[in-house]
Amino acid sequence: MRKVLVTGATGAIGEACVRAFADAGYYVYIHYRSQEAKAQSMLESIQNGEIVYCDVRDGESVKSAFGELDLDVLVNNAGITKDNLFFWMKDEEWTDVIDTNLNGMYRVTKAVVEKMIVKKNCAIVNVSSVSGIAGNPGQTNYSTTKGGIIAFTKALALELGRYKIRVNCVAPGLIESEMTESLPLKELKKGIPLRRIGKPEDVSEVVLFLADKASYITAETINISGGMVR
Amino acid sequence: MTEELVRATLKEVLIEEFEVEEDEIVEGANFFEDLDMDSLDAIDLIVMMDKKLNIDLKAEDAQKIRTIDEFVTLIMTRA
Repeated sequence: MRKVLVTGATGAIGEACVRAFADAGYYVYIHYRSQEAKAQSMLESIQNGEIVYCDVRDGESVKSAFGELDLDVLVNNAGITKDNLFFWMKDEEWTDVIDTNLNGMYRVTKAVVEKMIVKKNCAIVNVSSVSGIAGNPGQTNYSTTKGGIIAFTKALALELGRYKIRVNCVAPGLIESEMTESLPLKELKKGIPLRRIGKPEDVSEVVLFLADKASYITAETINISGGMVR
Repeated sequence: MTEELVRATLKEVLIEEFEVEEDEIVEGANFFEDLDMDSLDAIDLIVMMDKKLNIDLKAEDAQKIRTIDEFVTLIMTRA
């Protein structure tokens, strides 16, 4: 049975990814930091898997949680927002977002990659955002991390390709989630050619495709924004 | 595990997986200068030898080896 780790699994996109991989027959490691009850409830709804606690901001926590996992697929999805206009942005808003979204991805990937190199035929899918492609006001910190994730994806894909590890990225636009529920979605839909907000499943089906089917795709970023960002 | 077995296994891996010519595999040959390998190849070599010989090599060991002899010595200390 193939095994996948989904970080930040209790968020909307993470949860959809857990369900997509579980439906595809994967053993799913459901990572959580603060929402243990939700992770447990997700576990009860899938066939095979386990929940794993870890704070991706803490290198030792990452090593002890993930260092021994023998994965076929890693989905780097853990991320936070702490939006503020740059002029008003506090140092901790900047560093918290960088440390979770970017350094956290580095720590998790570092912890699992050696076993993937030994195993070969593995895949990593990183969850970026259209903010990392086009930028977004109030999100200099978040956009920085999401742009970094795209660049990280490309560089890591070049290094790991020879070990038959593919590294790809998705860049969701506006997706129904706790991150977007406070936004004026009706107004924002006007800027989306498909005239709707994305669903978490719109993202998870692409993540599953990249991890499981796309055998000749690596170093790629797929924009999932209904045409909002070109 | 004998040194002969280690050298023979290493030779087989270099020829079959890294397309190194047999006559290039000589004592003191440098992986990077003589065998046209790079640091990512070195990690792959470590992984393959670890699998074949079932020894305790880590990808980070790739930073410690430059020549065939150094690598054989490292493997013998772990075997």
